[in-house]
Amino acid sequence: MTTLFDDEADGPRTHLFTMGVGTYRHLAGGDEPLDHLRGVGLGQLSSPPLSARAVTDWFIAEMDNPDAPLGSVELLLSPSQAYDLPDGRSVEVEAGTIDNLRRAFDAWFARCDRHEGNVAILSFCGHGLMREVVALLAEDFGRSAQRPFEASVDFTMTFEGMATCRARRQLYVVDACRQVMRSTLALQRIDATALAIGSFQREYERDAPILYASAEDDRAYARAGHPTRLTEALLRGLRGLGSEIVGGGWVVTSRRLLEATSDLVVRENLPDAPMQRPRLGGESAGLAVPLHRLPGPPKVPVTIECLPGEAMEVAELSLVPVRPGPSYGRGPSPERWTLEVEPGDYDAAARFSGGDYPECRKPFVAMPPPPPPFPLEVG
Amino acid sequence: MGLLRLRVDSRSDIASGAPLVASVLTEDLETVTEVTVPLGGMRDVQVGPGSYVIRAVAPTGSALTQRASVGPEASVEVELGHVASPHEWLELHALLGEVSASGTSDELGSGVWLRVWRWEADGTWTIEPVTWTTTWESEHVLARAAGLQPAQRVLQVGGESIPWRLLALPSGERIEVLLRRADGTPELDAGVEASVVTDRTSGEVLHGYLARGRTEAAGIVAEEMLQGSRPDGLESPTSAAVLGYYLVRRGQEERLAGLALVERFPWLPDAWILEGWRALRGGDEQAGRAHLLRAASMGAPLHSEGMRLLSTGLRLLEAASPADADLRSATESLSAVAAATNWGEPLTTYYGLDPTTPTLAPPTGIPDGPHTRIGPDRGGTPPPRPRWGRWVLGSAVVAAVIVGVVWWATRGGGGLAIDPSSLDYGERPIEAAGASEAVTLSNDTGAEVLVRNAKIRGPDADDFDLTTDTCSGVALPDGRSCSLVVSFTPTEEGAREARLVIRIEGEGGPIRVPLDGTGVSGEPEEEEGSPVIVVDPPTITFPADVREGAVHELTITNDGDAVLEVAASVDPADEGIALDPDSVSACAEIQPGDSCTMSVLFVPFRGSRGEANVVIENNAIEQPLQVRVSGTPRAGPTPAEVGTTDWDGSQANVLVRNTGTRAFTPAFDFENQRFSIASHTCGELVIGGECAVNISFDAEGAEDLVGALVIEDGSGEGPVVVPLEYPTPVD
Repeated sequence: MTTLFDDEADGPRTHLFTMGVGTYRHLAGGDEPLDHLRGVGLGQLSSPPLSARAVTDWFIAEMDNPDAPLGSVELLLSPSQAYDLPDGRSVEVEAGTIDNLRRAFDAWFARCDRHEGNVAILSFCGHGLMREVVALLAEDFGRSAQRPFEASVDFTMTFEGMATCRARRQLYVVDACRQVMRSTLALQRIDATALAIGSFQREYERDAPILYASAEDDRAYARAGHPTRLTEALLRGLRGLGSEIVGGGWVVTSRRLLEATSDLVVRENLPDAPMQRPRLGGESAGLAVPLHRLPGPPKVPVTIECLPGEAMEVAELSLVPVRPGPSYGRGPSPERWTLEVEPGDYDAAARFSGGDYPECRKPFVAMPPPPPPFPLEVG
Repeated sequence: MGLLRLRVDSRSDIASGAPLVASVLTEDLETVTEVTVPLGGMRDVQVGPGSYVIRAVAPTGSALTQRASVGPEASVEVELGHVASPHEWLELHALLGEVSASGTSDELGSGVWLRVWRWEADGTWTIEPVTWTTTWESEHVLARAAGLQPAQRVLQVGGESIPWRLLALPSGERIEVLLRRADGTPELDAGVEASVVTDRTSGEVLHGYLARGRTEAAGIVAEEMLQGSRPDGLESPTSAAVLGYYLVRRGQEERLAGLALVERFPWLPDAWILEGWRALRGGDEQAGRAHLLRAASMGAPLHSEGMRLLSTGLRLLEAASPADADLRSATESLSAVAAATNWGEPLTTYYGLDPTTPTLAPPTGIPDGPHTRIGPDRGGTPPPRPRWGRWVLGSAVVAAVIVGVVWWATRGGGGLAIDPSSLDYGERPIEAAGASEAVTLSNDTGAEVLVRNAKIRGPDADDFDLTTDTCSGVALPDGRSCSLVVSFTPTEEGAREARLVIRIEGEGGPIRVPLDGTGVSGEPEEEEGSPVIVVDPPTITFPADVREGAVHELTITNDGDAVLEVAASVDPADEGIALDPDSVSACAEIQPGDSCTMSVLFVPFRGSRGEANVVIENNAIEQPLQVRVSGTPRAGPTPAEVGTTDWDGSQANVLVRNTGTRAFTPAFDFENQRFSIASHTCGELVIGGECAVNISFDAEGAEDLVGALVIEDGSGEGPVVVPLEYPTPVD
């Protein structure tokens, strides 16, 4: 296990456990490929360690949550590599093998279990599979031909087991594919490793949403050499697009963060990327669990377009707030109008000085999560 | 108090009544209240006097916004608009964010069969005799059965080439099954979607809000269902089960008691699963175990979520009692079903010979036992078919056409064919309205060919006019055809001759089609006039970024002086391209000088090739017009770059994916020829298809370690370039 830091405080804290598994030693392209894994269609990944690092970087450098300050960070990366902390220390991060995962989980669980006001965050990026359970593959996945799933995490049972943890606020991010195996492993029973012992009893009522990067029986994506799409969206959410007004200030909350991240990933599917459809699961009443306090209102990215699209070439577009505030305008252009605005109630309008189309004006509310492209129907 | 009367339009019966969550906000965007508004209906909200912003948000995140000011004791009607969708039958899917329908019902045909299995009290499954009535629409087939007693049932669907699958059936007096061409898992379902239709829109919308993370909106729909204020809330076992699963997700199992699921739906496995979880969470492990085992013995639950909860519950129990043989047996049986389950479907769907024999290698074909074929010749009303024969006979002008295929250009496959090989218009009065005839160019070369242009040449070229050309500039795929329509209006007496010249890229000489006619003076031979057909545009290309469907207009003009009769269809019908049947009907008869517009719909799906022809049969010319419709190929997104850490020794991999809307075969080149292809798996890439390219680098003596892989995808938007950087040697 690699604990980057632990403040050992008794009060409510945010405890982060991040895993980024990119190298799989027994899969195609790995250091020790094994025959019984041929044909499973899984190989090496470049994005997971980058994604895990990016998430860790944000929590260490940017997170500001007076309700539950950052209490500890647990990190595993495959391939194993150094992580430089802001205080100048460099820590060699252990690889995401199943044994390291077990130890790191136990330490994280114990810290989360210290206080019922704790926020427990677990984020995994790497290969995932699903059937009746979701299995997250560790670096040494498939090490045993007799028990191929031994070196993978039974996330479904682990999630159930986390119900015994005292932390009432939990958040899970599964940044992995959830394809159903229809290969040689399809007929195997999934005896993956449950990291916590499940219980039906609810000693503690918890709010525990899960954000899955992909729909059931579907895939998650990344550009090679970059963090995953989900991570990029998650970071945009954390930096403001997953916020709402709480107690008069703008706060990134768990419910708005997951909503915004899901929307942003779907939005990024256009125009030339494979379709990725995040899904929400877990146990949640949709509480506004505070994760990060913003210094001010976030800028909301909005896109205005005319229907039909040809009208854009002669349209003069404007976005005028109902309450006093900055107004925006743009002259004719074939491109859709994308800009960032203050949250608020606006009048969106398209005018045509040449009289090509009738003027169109519609109310438009700009607030997180970012709305989809807003159409002005002029034809 | 004042009254806001909120209304949202609906364009279709399917989506009508679906609850959309609307927020009433102050001008400072603080929430006053949140309610549901039924699509196609109205919802009254009492508010104090003031100005408000009303914002309804669909599960997809699309929002409808309006403002309203209300005075004391005043009532204001607020029209929020409608849910945007490219076509009305996509409305519910547009609302839920899951567009999957595509294509037409033609391919479903007589090969599809259904049968219903019923779970008996003795624990066996029997085939239940069911009388189906089928309704054929252009894009789907609806099969209905009624008069059924409540029971646990599964529907089995198969076909000549459709793998057998089983769908858990919501039990009720009637069953409605929708069959259509669709996206999905082509390798398992052959591109045929079967879904069970119920009046369960509340449950579907609740599921949609939950899946997209809109938990507050989900909570509002759920609370209204729990309070019984939604008509399909608790009466429908399907919606009641979804509501039950929502309560488990919220950790509110104690509220399940109010649903009385096992009392009202004892035949429903989901009811026992939920009752089991309620008992287990309440500390009664023995009752929970019994309920879950009972559910496991009843066959697949109605919902995939039920399958997951049943499995999780049994495994939790098994972990606590590893020696419990009954639990072990139940989890293993369930695991076998789980392996053959399509987990992407909200209602449990799995592949198998029968309800107790799930398999990942399902059979295809027609079963020996009882089943019901649902072809159009078996009780259904077939879609309107083109009245082709009548039009040919009814044509006012019948040219003497030599029908045959005489021109071939061999190119790997059969060749290029022009049919007919010449056109003879016979005698026509001088300056009489032009008689039209068509030739069809068919590509059977085994490869795509590019038609450069088609022109009329020859001594009397001015007497012939190329009125419609769906060939010029078109990359014609193998197996496809295009049309050229030529009219003849003699300007002088006597024999008139010219030729239609078609140039093909890469072919030696052009294709020549002789055109002959004779101008005569005096009265026209025919008393009646003749229609002339002109289509615009000659080809339709949808962009690469169509995801949830797009519509393109096709205009047909009658330039003749008699009524033009038209029917249209799409060939092949399973490429996600379809015609709006209403627009086709509207174009059935076009008066002289008039125009009519058809709507061509395109919903590309993974595994398809994204190209088809609109075939326009008409009484103006003897051959149907072929208008090519296609998407745009696009390679990517491969890795944006192959950096120094992506190399395994001297080799690296690039995954090429077709993210466009049409199939293509990628071609590769390199900037820096020290990079080369060691191997690849790239043939034709269907929509969503992918292949791998293994790149090697000749490092010996190399100084320039940077290059790029250039992928030509034929999109016309330039190649995709993947920068390559080989790591600097450390020795």
